[in-house]
Amino acid sequence: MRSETPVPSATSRNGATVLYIEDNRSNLELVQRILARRPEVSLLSATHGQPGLEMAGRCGPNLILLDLHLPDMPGEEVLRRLRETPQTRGIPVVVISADAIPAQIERLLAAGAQAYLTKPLDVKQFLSLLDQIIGERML
Amino acid sequence: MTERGAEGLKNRTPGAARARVWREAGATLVTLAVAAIIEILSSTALRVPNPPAFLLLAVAASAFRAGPRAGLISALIAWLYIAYFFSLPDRPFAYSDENFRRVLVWAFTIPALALMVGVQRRRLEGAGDLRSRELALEAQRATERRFQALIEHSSDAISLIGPDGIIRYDSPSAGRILGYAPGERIGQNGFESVHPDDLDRTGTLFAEMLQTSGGSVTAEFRVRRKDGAWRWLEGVGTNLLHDPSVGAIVVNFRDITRRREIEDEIRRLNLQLEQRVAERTAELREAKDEAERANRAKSEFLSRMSHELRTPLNAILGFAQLLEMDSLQPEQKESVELILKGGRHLLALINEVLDIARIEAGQMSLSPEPVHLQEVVRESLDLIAPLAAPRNLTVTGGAAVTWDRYVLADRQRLQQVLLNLLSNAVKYNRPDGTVALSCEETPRGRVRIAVRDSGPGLSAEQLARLFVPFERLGADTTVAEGTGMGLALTKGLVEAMGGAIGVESAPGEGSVFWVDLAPTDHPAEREQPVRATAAAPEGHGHMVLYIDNNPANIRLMQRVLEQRADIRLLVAMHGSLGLDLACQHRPDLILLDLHLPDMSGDEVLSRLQGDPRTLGIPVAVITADTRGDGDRLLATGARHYFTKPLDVRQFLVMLDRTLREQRVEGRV
Repeated sequence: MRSETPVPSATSRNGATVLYIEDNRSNLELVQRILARRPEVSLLSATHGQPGLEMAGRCGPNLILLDLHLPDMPGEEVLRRLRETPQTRGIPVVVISADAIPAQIERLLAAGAQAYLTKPLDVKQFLSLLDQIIGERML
Repeated sequence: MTERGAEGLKNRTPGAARARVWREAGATLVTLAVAAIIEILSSTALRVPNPPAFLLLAVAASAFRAGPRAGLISALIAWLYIAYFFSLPDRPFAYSDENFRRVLVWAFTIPALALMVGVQRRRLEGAGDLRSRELALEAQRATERRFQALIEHSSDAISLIGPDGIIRYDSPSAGRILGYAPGERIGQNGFESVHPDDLDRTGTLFAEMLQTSGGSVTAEFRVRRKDGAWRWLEGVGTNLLHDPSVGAIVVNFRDITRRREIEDEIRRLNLQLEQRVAERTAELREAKDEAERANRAKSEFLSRMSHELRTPLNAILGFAQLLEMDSLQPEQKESVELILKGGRHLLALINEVLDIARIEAGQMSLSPEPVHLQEVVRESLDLIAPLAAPRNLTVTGGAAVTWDRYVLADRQRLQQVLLNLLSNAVKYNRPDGTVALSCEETPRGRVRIAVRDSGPGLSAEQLARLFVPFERLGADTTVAEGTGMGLALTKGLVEAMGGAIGVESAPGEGSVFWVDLAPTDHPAEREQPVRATAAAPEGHGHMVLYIDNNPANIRLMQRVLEQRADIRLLVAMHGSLGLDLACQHRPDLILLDLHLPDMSGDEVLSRLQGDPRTLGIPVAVITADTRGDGDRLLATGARHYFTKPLDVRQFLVMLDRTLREQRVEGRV
């Protein structure tokens, strides 16, 4: 069930775009609901790594949220490819994973992730990080 | 007697004959001397009236001394002297029939006596000779009997074998060892009973021995007893064929079957032991592999479980947090709060289980550093105060909050430990009770942090189960909340930091939990004991810009720079902000982390180098990335490169040197 749903109204001229690569529906829905609190931010989502990469290249989102357990490729691989591709290498990536192993967190930060949030998400923390990154981009 | 006997024996030799002649001559001279004395005395007043009597005595003596020949010569001398004595004119011989007969008697008596005494003497000598010969023979026989006894009663056996291998003599013990009657083996070939496996070897040795006269060989070999049993023998063969009195191979042998059996047994046991050691080693290796496999499987299982549990929790806690932000009815709000509370409890549990598993697997990564004890103590007390207030507990830190000591610990984990002990002291306490934290130095030079409560105390049975996971003492009877993992985790953490944890308690007397840690020096004082720069006026101070987005790192840097009162620290959590601040303030030093939210540290570095306003500012890179990018960064313009955990001492050295240089440059 591959889907590249451009969720709600994807393009708002003044707003920011966030791409969420995640295969778990309830996680996706949670982030959708959280982002509903930031009307200026629109959310794109991909449930698989490959379409996620394509979407990132095409749409150039302001921020990519990345899950590590994807059906087609490891999230780490997605991050590596995002960093390799010239169009996407400047886009900040925040990993959101249920893996809380310090060694893994270190590894992904070293591989270029801007932040590593563990599930369950702390909504306030997530929002402040989002505001910080998006805020900078917008400025 | 034996002396004479020996003399008699010696007579047969030429030396003895010569001695005999000398003795005879001597004996004869005695007679002559007696005659001379009589002659000399005859011209004095002491004239001997009857010389033949004296002469008879001399002849008898010389015959006794030297045998019949000397006796007869002496008798002749006596005769001649008697004739001379009576022929002299002054010694008139009154001839008469009576006197003539008297002289005649003397003339016959003297040689007769000489002959008698001499012959008797010779006979006596002969008897002595015989006696001594008998004695010598007897001695020889005794010696032989002694040797015979030695041979017969020896446990070692002796055989004589011809060059053809035929047995010529067996000592009694040879028969005993091999089960034969005495002499039964004589005439047999000794090699016939040697074990077939030993035949070649012993045959070769025997042949070699035959080549060398007097040569001897030693060998261990098996020989069949008369009853068919095999015995191990140790034999020494000596080639005495050349010796006419022996003319055989002398084989000396003993039964070493028992020794060989013991040796074999020892060898067998050794082999068995080696085998068992090898088996046991293999078993242990397998068990170790198995344990490692199990440990890996456990770690994997736990991290999967953690992942699987966190994913649904994300929905539970996430949506609950969203609901909480909405405006809710009080009842709804309470429900959401309970959902959040339950979810967070579950999350804490998962985290603690994972921590314990990591400690057990040795995978807990800690960064020990000098930790200022009073800070951690103060922060922990502040955090625990809200928990203690509802129960009206008095929480005191006493002197601990001002104790200026440093311990070697992971700051965050140490705080976790203290919070855990304090929250336990709050939970398991009576209303209006007390919680007292104290610090002291132990006699062994460690730093002890103790938390005393006024709770119900613990029984010996409870103490035994205290640090076991999920043992929540009295949880059913009190309202205490917790995961049940706290003390097990605390113990693991303390031990992972090289410390020790313990408890002293008795029912009704409250409990004291203590943690011992290694003390350490003040991190900055080691480098700069005199803080003279603290007095520097603010206008002449330095400015350091720190670009890093990790709050813990920023806090560490703030604390490190507290030691340098003349330094003003600017902090930027993003690269772009950092660049702006660098342009505006032109700091004396820029500290740069490589992982920034908006741009890479490399980029910040290159932009700093690209802007004439910031080009000259020294940059020190501080990163957790230890992959060895240092050289590359130093090549692209970074002045210094530090890896986390930060070596504070080294960092301060760099800081001071750099700031000194900047000041000089500034004045120029």
